[in-house]
Amino acid sequence: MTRRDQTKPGKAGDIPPNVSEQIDENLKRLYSDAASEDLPPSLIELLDALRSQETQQSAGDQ
Amino acid sequence: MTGSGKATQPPDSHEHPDPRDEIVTHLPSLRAFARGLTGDVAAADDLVQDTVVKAWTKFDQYQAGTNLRAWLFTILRNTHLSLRRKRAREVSDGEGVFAAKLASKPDHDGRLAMQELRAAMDMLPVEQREALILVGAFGFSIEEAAETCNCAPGTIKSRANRARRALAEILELDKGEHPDSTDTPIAAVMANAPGGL
Repeated sequence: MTRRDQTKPGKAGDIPPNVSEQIDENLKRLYSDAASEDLPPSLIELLDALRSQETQQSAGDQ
Repeated sequence: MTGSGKATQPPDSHEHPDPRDEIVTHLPSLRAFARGLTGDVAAADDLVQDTVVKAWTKFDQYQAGTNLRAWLFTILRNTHLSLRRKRAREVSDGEGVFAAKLASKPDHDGRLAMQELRAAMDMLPVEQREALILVGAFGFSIEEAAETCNCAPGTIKSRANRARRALAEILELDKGEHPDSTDTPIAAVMANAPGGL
């Protein structure tokens, strides 16, 4: 059980767990960058428009 | 009626809030997922807009209490796939936009590595890429990602693993005997990476 994470475990082609973790960690960084940006106003406006459209429809139904 | 607890509820809301109000909370990660799939900022935002409209108009198909995030991601993914089929010959040509955007961040050594990682991700088949983005970047459980991609959990697992393996190869990370190897930018950054953001 020595330094299993530094050698290829098990079947050929597996990558060491520490490399796998590093990849995930860097992917988190990559995508959290995009996810932390402010939303474009157009998206908020779209949601508002959808909601008000529906409000009008349901008012019309009554 | 006069709640002694929450005072912020609008007068017409029921005790269960409208789940559609939660859509907005998922938009940032939907945008990031869309960028991962399209490789293009503008195309990603168009994709998110389409997703929002679809989600809103067929919200009656959403089962309250189930996983809204997975439901939204599924709509986005399916919308992307059908657009891809439509534009079968059109290869993503906007990669530079996303890369340039990353490059413009004052991210010192990290930016080159992030570009390399992004470029490497773009080399993966979309099925592997989406599996790894969901599980690796967004922390979806295997089951949640399987639900999102409409496939078996085992399929997600093997796609994500194949994706990691491919990235390790492309980025030359799989050097077991040389854990301190920093001869690629991504390896250098990873070696110095802090625990979090």
